[in-house]
Amino acid sequence: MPETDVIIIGSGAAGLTAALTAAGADLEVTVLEKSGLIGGTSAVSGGSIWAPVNRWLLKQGGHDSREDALAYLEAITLGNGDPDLLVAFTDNVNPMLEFVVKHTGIEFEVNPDHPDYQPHLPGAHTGGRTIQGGLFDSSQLPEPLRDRLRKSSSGVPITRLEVDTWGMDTLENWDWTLLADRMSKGIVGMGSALIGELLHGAVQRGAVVRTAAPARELVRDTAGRVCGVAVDGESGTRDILHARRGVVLASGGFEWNPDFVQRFLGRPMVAPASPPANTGDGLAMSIAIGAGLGNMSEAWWGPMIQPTGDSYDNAPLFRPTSSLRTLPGGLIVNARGRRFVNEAMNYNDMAKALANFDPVAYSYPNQPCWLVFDERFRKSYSVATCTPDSPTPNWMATASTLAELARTVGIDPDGLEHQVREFNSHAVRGEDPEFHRGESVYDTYRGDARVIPNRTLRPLEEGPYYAVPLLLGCLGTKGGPLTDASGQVIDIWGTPIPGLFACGNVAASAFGTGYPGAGATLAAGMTFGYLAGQALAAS
Amino acid sequence: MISGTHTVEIDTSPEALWDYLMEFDNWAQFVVGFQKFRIVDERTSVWTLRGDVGVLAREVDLEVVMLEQEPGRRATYSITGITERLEGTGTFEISPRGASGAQAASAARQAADAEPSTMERRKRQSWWRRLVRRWALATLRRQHGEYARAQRAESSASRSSGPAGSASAQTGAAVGLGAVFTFALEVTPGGPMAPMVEMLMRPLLAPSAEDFSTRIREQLEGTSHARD
Repeated sequence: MPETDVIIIGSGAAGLTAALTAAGADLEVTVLEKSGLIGGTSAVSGGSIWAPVNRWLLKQGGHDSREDALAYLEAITLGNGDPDLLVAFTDNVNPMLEFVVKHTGIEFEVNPDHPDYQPHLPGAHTGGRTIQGGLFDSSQLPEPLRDRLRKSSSGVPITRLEVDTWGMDTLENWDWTLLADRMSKGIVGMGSALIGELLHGAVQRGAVVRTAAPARELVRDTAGRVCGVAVDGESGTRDILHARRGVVLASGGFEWNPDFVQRFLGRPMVAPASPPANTGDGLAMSIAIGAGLGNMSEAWWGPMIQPTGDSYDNAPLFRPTSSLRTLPGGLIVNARGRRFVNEAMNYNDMAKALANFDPVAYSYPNQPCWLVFDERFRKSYSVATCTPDSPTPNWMATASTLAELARTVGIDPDGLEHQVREFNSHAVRGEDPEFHRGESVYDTYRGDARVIPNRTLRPLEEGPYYAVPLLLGCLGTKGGPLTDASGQVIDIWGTPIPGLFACGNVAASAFGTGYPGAGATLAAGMTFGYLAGQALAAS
Repeated sequence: MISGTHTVEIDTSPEALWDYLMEFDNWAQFVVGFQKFRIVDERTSVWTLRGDVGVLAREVDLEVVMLEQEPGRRATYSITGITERLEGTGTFEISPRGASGAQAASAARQAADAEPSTMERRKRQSWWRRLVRRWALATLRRQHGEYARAQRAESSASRSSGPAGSASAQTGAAVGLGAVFTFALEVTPGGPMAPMVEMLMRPLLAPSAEDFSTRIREQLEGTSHARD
């Protein structure tokens, strides 16, 4: 009967950090990946990691403190976070990074300018907590793993810092010859690079990674300890793989499971931006053995664009709009033609406004909504992969007047014209008295520096005008089994379930409703993966 | 510019092959990534193709316009991206098998011989390129396997004039009456991302041309079922 020390379900950054940690402690590790590709949601991410008090910041002369970090985390979780988890994260994110650096080829550098997502809260910092890795040469990986490293939807081998330098929405400024050369050599960037490094490190230490191996059920012994996994084999068989030490759930969120979304999220989320294998398998398995659940209605929210005809892994491709929304010459309106939010704020909190519920009308008034912009915007920035010189795609409505555009897509024409007049009257001075767009340090991290006095604001000028629907989406859900500070899953009464750990988006997030900063998802997943690996090594 | 060319000999008359090619419905499904097409006028059509690059796929609309036509021998079409910046041409060439036909086939073989040997090419290609080529061929086989299965189902349901099994009967082709068919595709991506698009498409064009012309031969000779 096949047996190993540790089984890890899922091959994102959380799972692979757990694998690296356990394998580094000389444990026998098997990673089970449901899909044919390795890396999960992490591989399609920017690959940033949010790490307060990180040494790369301190080396540059920056300042940060444990007290600030904890104060900020308490504020961003509205005081509802589990203090033990927040302390565990804060105290272990840097040891985790040191361990990862030591056991992989990752070289991090700090982004001194990336602010926390709610920079006005106590303990927030205006830069330096987000660190980013470099490129990864996937030819380092042994066959067949090198062919199974998941790439993002663009697949472009670029670093996060290059994106910031060249401009996220000015694709014509990117060095495409350099990028094509990198791609031809098998080089990957951002989330794929992070996964490549973790995978390489784990495999070098003996971890076995199986793809197309969906875990279906947790197996327990007579004492209730989780001691194995029922896994589907390639030939259609269901095999039991035994784990001497335990099992780590790291299988991602449930955002691609419409039934779970309907049951748990409580918001009309229709645009998940993760790989479609994230159907809540780990959640289902943990429910089946009595895990306590938490944070079930939460996700890493974001407003998404859907370029019709683009697909990823045979599912519709939804693209985040981190920077696009912040650019001058555009605004977001609902069907009444009214703005309803500061378009330039962080995507997690901004997207919640898309899901506002009107109890009188008994509807979601900001669904649908559109990003509306003028010809100068169209000729200045890329919208998804539509560059300024590209033909206007069929998912981007256009008309010579605002009223005609409104009628075309279903916005109240009078409302839109009135809103744009009002918006323009303030934007001409770089002001937004209603939503304060461009006033926070977060808002001004994006935008267009060439536009003054407010890099996120200018009036809409001459037509033609354009409209692109924005959908309520997420990078992944973040509710699931509750864990203690070591990552061990607890049951509904708070008692640890022997042999079962959870980390990453499958688990109830320590950050609750909040999103502390760029890379917080990966940071928490990797930290609790590291802690789970350590606990299993010590068990 | 990137290109792909492939030549096959087909057991049908050049005239029958020409008639076959002039009806897009006959072979549209053999175009890699085919989703749909519509005829705009006697020279112009609009095609929607799905391009797969690893796990990402994108549908692109292309305008195809007849540029020149020498009935029975040659037809050239311009290809212009509607939703993407891309230009190119596609050409059908037909010659009778036999003296001149054999010469054409021989010329095609010589041209192929002038290329670096397969082993040499493979040595020069990065593992990534080889992977993309393997993936492209596997994708093509999968796509056309699905098509062939659908055709089989349709054919067995109707037992009448399904295109896959009956084309050779319709053309009256017989072994000995033969045509040499060459399909050539040239594409030039435009815009700032052109280097990347070119790099991604380059390994795909030759297999696509080979697959397209081979499928046409199989359909006309009624052998597609055997391959699948």
